[in-house]
Amino acid sequence: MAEISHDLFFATIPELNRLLTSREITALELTRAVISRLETLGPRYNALALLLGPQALRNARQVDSDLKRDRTRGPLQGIPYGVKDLLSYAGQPTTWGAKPYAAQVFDYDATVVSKLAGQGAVLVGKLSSVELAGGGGYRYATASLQGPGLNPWDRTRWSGGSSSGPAAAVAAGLVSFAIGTETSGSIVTPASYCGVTALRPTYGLVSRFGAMPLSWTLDKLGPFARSAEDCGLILEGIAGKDSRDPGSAHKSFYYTPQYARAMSDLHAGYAPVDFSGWADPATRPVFEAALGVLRDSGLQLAETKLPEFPYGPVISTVIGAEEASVFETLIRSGQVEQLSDSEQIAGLKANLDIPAIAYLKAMRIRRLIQEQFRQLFANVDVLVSPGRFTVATPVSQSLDEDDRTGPPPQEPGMNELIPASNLAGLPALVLPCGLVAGLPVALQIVGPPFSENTLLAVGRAFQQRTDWHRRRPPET
Amino acid sequence: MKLTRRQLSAAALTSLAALAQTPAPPGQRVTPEAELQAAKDEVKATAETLSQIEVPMTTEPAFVFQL
Repeated sequence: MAEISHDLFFATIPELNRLLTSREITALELTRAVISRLETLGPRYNALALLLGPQALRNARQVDSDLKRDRTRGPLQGIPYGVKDLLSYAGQPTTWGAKPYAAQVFDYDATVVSKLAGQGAVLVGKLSSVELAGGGGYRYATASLQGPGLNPWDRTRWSGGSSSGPAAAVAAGLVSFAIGTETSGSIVTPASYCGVTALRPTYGLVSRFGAMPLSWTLDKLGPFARSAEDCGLILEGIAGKDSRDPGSAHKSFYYTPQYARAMSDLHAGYAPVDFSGWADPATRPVFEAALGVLRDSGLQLAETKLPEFPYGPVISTVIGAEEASVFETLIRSGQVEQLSDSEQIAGLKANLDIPAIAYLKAMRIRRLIQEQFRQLFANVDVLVSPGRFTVATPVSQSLDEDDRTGPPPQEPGMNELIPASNLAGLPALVLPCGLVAGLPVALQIVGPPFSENTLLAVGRAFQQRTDWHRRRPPET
Repeated sequence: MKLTRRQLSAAALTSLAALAQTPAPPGQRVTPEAELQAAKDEVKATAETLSQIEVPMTTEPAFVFQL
């Protein structure tokens, strides 16, 4: 058996695809090595929920058999990956990161798992999540069945949530890519904290069938990967209409870098106060340098403001009402008490009290938000803001704690871009853009609905000029 | 707009920057009953906030995304 180079754990999809199709390595060799690494190092970051060794080896053998017969199935064939443990895989536990569901087993695969299997991608494991994706609100990083997500760059820091496992596993080179979920921030935050390129697709572009419902009108699934290009290849593999998902947009996605507009044709909106006021002082030079790279690529930056809406109350009402309905049985049966985070328990219970009129008001305001974003995107092609304004927080720190030493800036800037863009169903690309005291920070690029190819073009332009996306945590 | 801690927590799920606007009392132990009451008060306050926002009568809820 050929020795698998350590570098392959951090290789991009095209790099691995070339090695697999030229038969310089076999899918079985690669999968064996990845399983071993995931089993050994996954627990180190509390990233692994369930190893799927036998199934993965069986599927890898099938890939090798197919490749031997020149049955190629695209760039994902033979690539080992993981999914957040909110996604069902038939016959195996799907815990949703929460004790009340620790023994839950579905008899069907999530649509994204089926689609990836159809393209020969090899599922090697389920990856950890904050319990119930943290929808009730949570106070501590410990709110997960696997324990707090530990950041591969510094295990005293949080990997972010709620897609803690996917972000940490990709950052640490335990899988080549991973599928996570976002309702409001659960892809953007862990990708930023772990220094991983990730894509939150437009609402409805990727089927949610087989994924834990948290908020039907907000939930989205997307990839964590090694580059913007990888994200494009994965998105093409998982996007598409699905009659089993009532929120499906009935649209496909084709990754088309060959048709990308020139950077000099694109206009990006940004709020200077995000970078000079909201961002932690230690991160500002890195963010300024990242903006400089975007300018050098030809992207035209112009000052922009977010439409003014009470994004916090709107999104908390939408998530709260929908999740209370989803988990009504859990809450009323008292099993909710088995969750580990007391704030989440209280939040879920209290959300049963959200009045219908408040939910409907929130959803009507949401319509106005979408309309305002439509107008905003008549003037700019994308929005640029820090993914998070700080580096990853200490793992023991309460999420309620305030790190800010002075008062917050007067201007809101795009401080609320995460809830705002999620309410409008917009896609976002996370681009690692530097290290601050050894910890990653990232930009988020947000665009209008179904503008993923534009976001990816910006991402490629940025990543052609930088290598932050290829940096590895020190002990990996 | 000043937001309370729970609103922001639910709003961004992990939005630490947003949470930073409204710090919780450090080291304070709360009982489950008090925590639930605080959460219920938040729900009430949030509903009150939304009730004060004018929306045109013709604006329908965004149940289906017309993107």
